[in-house]
Amino acid sequence: MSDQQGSNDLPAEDTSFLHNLLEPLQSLDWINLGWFAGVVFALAALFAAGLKVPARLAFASRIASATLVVTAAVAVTILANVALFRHDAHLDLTHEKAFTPSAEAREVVRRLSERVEVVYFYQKQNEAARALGAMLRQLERLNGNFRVRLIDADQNPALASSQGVRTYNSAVLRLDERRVEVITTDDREIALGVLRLLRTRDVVICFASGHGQYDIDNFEFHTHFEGAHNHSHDASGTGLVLMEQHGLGRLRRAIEKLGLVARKVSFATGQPIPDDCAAMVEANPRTRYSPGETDVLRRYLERGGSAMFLIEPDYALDESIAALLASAGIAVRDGVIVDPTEHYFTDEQMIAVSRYGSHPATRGLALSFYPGARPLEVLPAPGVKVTPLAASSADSYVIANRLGDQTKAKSGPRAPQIIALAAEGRLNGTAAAAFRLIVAGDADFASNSFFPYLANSDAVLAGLAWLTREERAPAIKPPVEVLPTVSLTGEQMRGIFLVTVLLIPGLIAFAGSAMWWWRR
Amino acid sequence: MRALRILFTKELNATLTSPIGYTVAAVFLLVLGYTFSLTLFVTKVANLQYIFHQMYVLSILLVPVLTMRTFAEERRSETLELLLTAPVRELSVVLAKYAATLTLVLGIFALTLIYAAILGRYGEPDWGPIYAGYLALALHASLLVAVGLLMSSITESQVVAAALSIGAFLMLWFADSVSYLLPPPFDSFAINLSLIGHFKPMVSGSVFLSDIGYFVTASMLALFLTTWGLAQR
Repeated sequence: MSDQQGSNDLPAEDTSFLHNLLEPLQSLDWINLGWFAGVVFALAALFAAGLKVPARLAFASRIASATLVVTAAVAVTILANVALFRHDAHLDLTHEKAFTPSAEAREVVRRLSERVEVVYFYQKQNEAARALGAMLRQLERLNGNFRVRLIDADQNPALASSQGVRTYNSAVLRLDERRVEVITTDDREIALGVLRLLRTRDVVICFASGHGQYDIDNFEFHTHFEGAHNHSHDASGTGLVLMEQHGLGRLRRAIEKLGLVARKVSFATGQPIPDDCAAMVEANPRTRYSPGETDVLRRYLERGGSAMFLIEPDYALDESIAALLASAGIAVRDGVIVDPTEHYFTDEQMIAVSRYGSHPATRGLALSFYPGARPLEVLPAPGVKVTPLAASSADSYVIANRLGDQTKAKSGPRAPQIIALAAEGRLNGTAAAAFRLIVAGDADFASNSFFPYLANSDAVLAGLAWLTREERAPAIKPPVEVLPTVSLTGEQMRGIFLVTVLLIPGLIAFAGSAMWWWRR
Repeated sequence: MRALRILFTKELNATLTSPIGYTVAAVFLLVLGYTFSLTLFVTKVANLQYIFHQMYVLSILLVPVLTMRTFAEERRSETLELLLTAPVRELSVVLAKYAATLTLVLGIFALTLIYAAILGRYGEPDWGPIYAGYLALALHASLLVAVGLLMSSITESQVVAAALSIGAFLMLWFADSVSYLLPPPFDSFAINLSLIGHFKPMVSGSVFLSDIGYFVTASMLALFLTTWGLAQR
């Protein structure tokens, strides 16, 4: 009881301090630490013995003897270093564990049940590549099925060439006959490569085309102007640098990194949507569907297809598409949502969402934002389960258009507005399989301009994972490192400058002068 | 051991009563203080990596000034023969000079702990890389002092000793840059000979035993050669 009481009295920081201090020691490789001590001790013993060597060896001149002793001493030192290098141990003392494989990568390697071989052709001068090499060695110790070979690409160009490697810092991952090459210095990319290697079938994400949708082949980066002195997103800049339409290039690259295949499909020919489309994405259509095209889509969903609809507020939905969505329990309303409470920066039409509906596609999602979204509604639909995924706050209201008079809307009733929802079930009694559908009243959030920010990419990729029925696959996100900063007042800055530049060196100089005077 | 302690005290007293140590320390801390405060004010980042690199470079230039007189001065004033004929082992003489000079260098480094204290007072720095950085500096200083002693032991001119030391340190610093020209396995050897190659990971918080081993074994080699060289006289 007293012990319990005693430990409760300790401040929380004390415990965490102890934990932080002990954690690196617990992770230390004690066997290699023993090697280190042994090698250093052996070298010290050799040197101690070396001091007994006479100035002139019996069989050589004095200079030859000295050369021999120096050469031998240098040689045993080199050998000691080779031994230390071969039995190296690593300690990561950074708070963020920047030199330790990420938790996601460790999880992927731990789960391996098949033998994966990784050959990393790295450049020795590249510090990041060497760090990744050390991390791969750490991962190798987690699972015997993960085998690593580190090869200096400069020393073994023929081997690199025989493996089809043309670039520094390329990792070739092999599982039986399957091969994936990843060019990286990031352990997460290697883990993604392992996931791609483990995938036994191609998962194809089909992007609808033919209605002016966001293109997946455009530049990754958003449209902007670059002036002589500033960077802007409107026409106020003085010089045009890049003028590509907004698109989904960034989403396509993310999909391909995950080992999925991105492909464009068109309904205009009346051909059915291919069965190998694990999910179909309709991102920001600009022209209306014909009833025939809607039928193509309906038949795809009746066969158990999955689709993601990203519909901008200014798009006039075709009646046939509206009817199809209604049979899936979804209504797409007109107007633009305004949220005076939950929005990004100062734009009340840029809806920020931090709380999500309970659904596999929203598990663990952080804050995402939707620039200019239209409201959705849940309709009764037998055999279909509809789940709101994201909604605006209870203070929200809907305006007819962005530029019109908003007085009436502002004073009108306020309520949460659904921005995105998911539906799952059978479209009708004759449907062969259950469809999956995600509809969002906004497409910009997935476009190049907004995809990488906050949790927008997570929202899109998690949605696609659910649609392709891979929602249980590990989520690997890029690391976010934040440097610790110091905020100082002017007075504090003056104080620091006086102490570090004047006081301390001045005191040392004064002590030296006093010593000189005293000795004089 | 008693002889070692007496010699160490004598060497340390000589070091502390010499104006060289104070001059080196004052210049070192002035340059570092200026760099630290300006870097902190501009970047507002609470880490000491930049300062550690600055200390690395300054050490290469300033440690030879502290080590140049250790044996060269004794040889010039012909007191070395006297010392070596005294009933003390050469190893004790070398270790005493090594420990006294290293104590002075580490003492100067210890004064820079004020920078870490300032960061701790006004921010929340990542302490791991700071601990590792000071470990790297201590190991680096250990190697520089050992090599400095070796250079001082082979000449009676202090200037030549300092020049040889700086030359050796610069060669070790840039050893990896010739690796492109060398065939294997000599290129790996050149890369692993580089001072900065072993120093840099440590100051960023990534501590490899092999990096620690490089500094420890190279220091031991330099001390062995110094001792063996003196014993041959």
